[in-house]
Amino acid sequence: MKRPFDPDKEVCDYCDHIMHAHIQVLRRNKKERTWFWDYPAVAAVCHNDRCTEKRSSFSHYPSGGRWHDLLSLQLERIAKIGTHLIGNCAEQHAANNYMNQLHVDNLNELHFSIARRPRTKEEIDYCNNCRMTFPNIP
Amino acid sequence: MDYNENYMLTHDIDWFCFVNGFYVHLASAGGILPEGFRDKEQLRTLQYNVSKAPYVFDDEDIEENDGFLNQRFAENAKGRVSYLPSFRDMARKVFVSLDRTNLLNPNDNHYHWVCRPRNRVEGRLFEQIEIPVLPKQKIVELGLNRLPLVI
Repeated sequence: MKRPFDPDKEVCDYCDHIMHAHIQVLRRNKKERTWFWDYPAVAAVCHNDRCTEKRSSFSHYPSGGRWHDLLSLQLERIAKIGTHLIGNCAEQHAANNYMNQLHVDNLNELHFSIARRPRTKEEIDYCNNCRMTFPNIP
Repeated sequence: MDYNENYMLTHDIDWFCFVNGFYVHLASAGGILPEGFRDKEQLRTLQYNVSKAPYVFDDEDIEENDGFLNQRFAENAKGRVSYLPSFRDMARKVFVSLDRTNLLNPNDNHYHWVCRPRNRVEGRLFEQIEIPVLPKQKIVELGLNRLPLVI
């Protein structure tokens, strides 16, 4: 049985990973086809109720990639993905990874770490789009 | 080619300018970069060159904005420690290092200073790196005229 993790520690570790990757990418001067040349504005972890499963992601424009049917349906009640900031949020990408990779079909099963800014690890408030999409975001 | 709005809104971009004789680093924190400072190729070359630039100052030569930091992290010493490294790093390379203030509103492009060298460095330091001069109008728009850049 998996030991439960602390979601806030997980997101802080993920921020550290992004900072490290950012330094490496700059050092190699790898300007194209790479993540983290610039820091993402926000990082977040999506996890289950027992804190035994998780997927992480960061804020970026939703170009390419496959959106989980249920999640895209819910997001597109607000606006089309890729417009009006829909699909940009770290929480939405983390949820999409979680649902696609762990074959989860219920938004009620999704819980989120505090969203943090990787550069500084400051807490970032959830946006209204995420509040409207995910039942467990207060 | 310029960064598009979606990229700027989702990234915390390091950008640089020269203001009244000072080298300034700004962390965009999901804000919109001013026109003339958002060309991807130029900015990436500049970021790479700055990343390669040597440190000019030691840690003890850097001044922190205690007024802001005490207010933001009054009961969170750990938060203060994790907030500072990237700004301190830039200040050690002679930049007055600024952060965008209002993280909740991407359209509010006011900045505050976080770290700066205690001593002013005369003249242009970076012969190989061209730091663009920020026009006067943009200095006012970004509120940099209100910041104590002068040491």
